[in-house]
Amino acid sequence: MACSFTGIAKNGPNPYSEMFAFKAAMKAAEAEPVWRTSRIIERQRWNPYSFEGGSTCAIAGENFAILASDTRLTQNDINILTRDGEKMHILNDSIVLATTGFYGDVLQLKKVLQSRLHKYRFDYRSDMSVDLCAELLSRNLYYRRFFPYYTGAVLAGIDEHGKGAVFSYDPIGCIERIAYSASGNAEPMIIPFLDCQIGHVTLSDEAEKPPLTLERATSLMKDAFRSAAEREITTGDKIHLIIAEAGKPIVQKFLPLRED
Amino acid sequence: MMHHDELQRTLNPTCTGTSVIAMQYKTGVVVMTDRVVSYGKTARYKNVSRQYKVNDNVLVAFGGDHADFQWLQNVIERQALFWKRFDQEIGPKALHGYLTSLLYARRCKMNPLWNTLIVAGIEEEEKNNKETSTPFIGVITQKGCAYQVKHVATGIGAMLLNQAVEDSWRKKGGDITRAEAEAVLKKALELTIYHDCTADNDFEIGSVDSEDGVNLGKEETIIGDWSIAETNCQYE
Repeated sequence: MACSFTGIAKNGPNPYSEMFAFKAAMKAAEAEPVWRTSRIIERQRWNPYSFEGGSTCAIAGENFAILASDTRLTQNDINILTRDGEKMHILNDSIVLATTGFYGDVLQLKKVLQSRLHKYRFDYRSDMSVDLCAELLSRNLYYRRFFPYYTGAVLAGIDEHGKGAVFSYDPIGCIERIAYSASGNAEPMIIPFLDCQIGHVTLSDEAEKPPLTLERATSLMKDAFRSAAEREITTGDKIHLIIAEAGKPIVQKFLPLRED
Repeated sequence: MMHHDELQRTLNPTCTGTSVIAMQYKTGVVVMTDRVVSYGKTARYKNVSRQYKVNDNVLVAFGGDHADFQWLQNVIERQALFWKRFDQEIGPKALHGYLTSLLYARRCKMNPLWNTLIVAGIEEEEKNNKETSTPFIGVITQKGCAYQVKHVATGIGAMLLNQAVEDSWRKKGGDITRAEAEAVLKKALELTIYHDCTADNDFEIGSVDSEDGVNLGKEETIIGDWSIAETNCQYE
């Protein structure tokens, strides 16, 4: 600490140091009072996230994309908030967003994307393509890198060439275009099943490898969710199925799942 | 290390209300809350309403911190007045959306409103069309997680009552009359006073009806059957 005025020796002890030390100690005591035990500190640490469970899954085909999710929202994994939650959001005629994770973030993310797509329509007089929207979503997720949207997003739809597209994300915006994807609590159960049936990774060489038609993808999807609902408690109630086919309007279906 | 200003946030609720139970019937919604505000487990304030009438179409009920809700009442009133300036009455869906954004924004500031809110009501245009009149119940949790339901129990009632309420709803095939819905809610309250130590047997049933509009219910009392208490010896 340099003293600018005269009368005090510049090299001697700082006459204010005691005062500064006192001020610092006062500040520390205010921030961390002795009566604040570790128990109180622990209680005051508040978690801004909650997890509403459930699963979503998407499969891309030659000229179609099919998405499914369950409709259950849970609290603490065991208590059902509602049996008719919406985990999938149709953003326009060729883009569908499917999400799991913290439902508050899901709603916010949906709202952000919808308003950005609305503005795109206003600016360019056409709907955004799924590739662009995929990149947009990635940027939006990474924008919140240090306070992430805690969502497992899957974006799917029909791209500009009329091909099915599925994009998979992690909560902070890592993006990948793949043939099939799943996210949520039953992801570890659905992915290996699709690896076997669609990726043919774990199928033996002699086994029959049928081509992926829309019918086959639909029934695989149903199988995946029915088996997941048997074993995974936050997945259940209904399958929400969305089918996007090139040149056709998006079709939605609800199928019953077990409700316990 | 914690910052000094964290003491100025609701990170622990002080005076709280417990469960809210609401149910749709053919032409409206009934909402039940008990009339106590607890300080921890002490029944601190009796004869306090936990429901707020916004206008003739919308009713908000709350569980959680009472101070936060009183502040919210003010915010809601201001928002309703803002709509009035344009000769509009705020509807349940609009208010539900507004409160969702508010609670989510406060969560993102790490300064949450410690409430679970139930927005019940009927949209004005649907009110005039008796054929399609669909009542609305929207739930918002403290962290901004929002959803719509046909029937709901929040707080500890979510653990105790959701299934009981749902079962009686399904038994009627969802086509339930107002008297039946009220009977279900009263039964549900009876169950809470047996199991929830911060619940009270003084309660009120508010309603939003497509003909009568919003009615804040009168104070009622339920005793229940305590004969089973004779056999309970687990006193500590």
